Amino acid sequence: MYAEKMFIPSVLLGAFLGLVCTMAFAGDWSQPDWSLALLLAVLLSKPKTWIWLLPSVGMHDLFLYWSVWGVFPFAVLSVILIFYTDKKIGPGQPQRWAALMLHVYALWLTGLDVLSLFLTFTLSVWLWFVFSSSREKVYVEPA
Amino acid sequence: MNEKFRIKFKIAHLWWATVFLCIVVLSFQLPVGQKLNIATAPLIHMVQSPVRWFQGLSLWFDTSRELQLRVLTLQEKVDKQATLQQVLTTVKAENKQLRRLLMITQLDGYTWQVVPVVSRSQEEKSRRLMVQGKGIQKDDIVVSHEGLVGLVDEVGAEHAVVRTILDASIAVPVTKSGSQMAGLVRGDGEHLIVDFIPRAKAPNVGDLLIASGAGGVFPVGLPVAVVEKVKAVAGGVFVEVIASPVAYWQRDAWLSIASKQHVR
Repeated sequence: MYAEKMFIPSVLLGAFLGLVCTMAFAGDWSQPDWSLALLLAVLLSKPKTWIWLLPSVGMHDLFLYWSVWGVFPFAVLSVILIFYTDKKIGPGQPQRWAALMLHVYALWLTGLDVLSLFLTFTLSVWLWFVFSSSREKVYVEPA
Repeated sequence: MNEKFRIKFKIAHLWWATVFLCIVVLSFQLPVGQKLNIATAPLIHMVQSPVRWFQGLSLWFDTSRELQLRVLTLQEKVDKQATLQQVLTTVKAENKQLRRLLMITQLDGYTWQVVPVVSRSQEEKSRRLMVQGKGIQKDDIVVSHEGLVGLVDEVGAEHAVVRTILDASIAVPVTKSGSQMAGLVRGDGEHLIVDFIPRAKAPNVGDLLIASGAGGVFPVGLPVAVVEKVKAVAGGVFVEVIASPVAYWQRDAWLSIASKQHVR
C-alpha cells in the first residue's frame, strides 16, 4: 500500500532528477533522455496514471525546449491511442509499441542524435518491463 | 483510510493538472522555460560536481612535463592575445579620433567578459545554452573564438540562458567581405538559411559570411557562417543559400559575452 502511495511522487521526483541530469551532461557525452524514458515507461505500463504523466511531459518540454510543442502533443496522441485501442481490441502490446515509436519519432524531430534516441528507447523498454513485471507479481501472488 | 487516500489523490492530481495548465498559458506570454532553466542552475552545478572533482583529481596523475607543456602553450596564447589587444586599442583610439574630426556619430563599443558554459540543450546541435556570469544583460551577444554563437535570452542573478543562431527566432544581417552582398541569416534548427541573396551576387560554396552591422545589434565583421550549398531557383530573383555556423559551441567550455557600451 505504501509503495503504491509513493509510486507517483517517486516517478515525478525521478523525472525531475532525470531532467537535471540531461541538462547537466548534454553536450559532454551521449545519454538517454532520462526523464522522458521514465515517464514513457510508466505511461506504457500504467496508462491510468496519465493525468500525472502528461503534465510532466509538458514540463519536460518546457524545461528542454522552452515550449510545449516538443514531445507533449505526441504524448497526448499516445494516451488517446492506448485508451482507444485498449477499449476496441483489448489491452495489448502492439498499441504500446506504436506509442513508444511515436515518442521516438517526436524526439527525432526535436533533433536528438541517433545514439541518444537508441539509449532513450532501450531505457524506456527496460523500465516498462520492470514496472509491468512488478505489477504481474502483485497480480499472481494471491492465486 | 483507503477512501481518504483516494480523495486526497484525486484532489492532488486536479491541482497538478491546474498548475500545469496555468504554466502553459503563462508560457505563451512569459519566458517560463528559460526561468525554469535558470532556477535549476544550482542543482545542475551540484550534479556536475563529481565530474569537476574527477577532472581536478586527474591533474594529479599528469606528469610535470605534460603540465609544463600545457602552461607554455597557454602562455604563448596569452602573449599573442596581449599583442592583438594592444593593436586593437590603438586602432580603436584612432577610429574614435577620426570620427570626431569627420563629425560622424561614434560607434557603440562593447565590454567583453569570458564566462563558463554550465549546460547545453540535448539536441545534437544544441540550440540553447546556459552560461554563468554576473552583469550579463538580455540581448547581449555571445561569441566563441571562432565566431557568433547567439544572443542572451534571459538572465538571472548569476546565470543566463542563450539562444543560438540555429534558433529560428534570430536573424543576423550578413555580408561577404569585399563584396556588396547583403543577406539575412536565420536558423532552421539544423542549418542556417541565408535569405534575400540576388542571383548576381550569389556567394560560392566555402565563402565566409560576416555580420554586416545593419540593425546595430551584432558587431561589424564578426564571422557568422560558412556557405555550404548554393542553389538557383528556377524563375526566382533570389538564390537558395544554406550555410553552417562558424562557431562550434557544442565543444566550447568557455564563451565570450559582449555587452553594448554606449560611447559618447
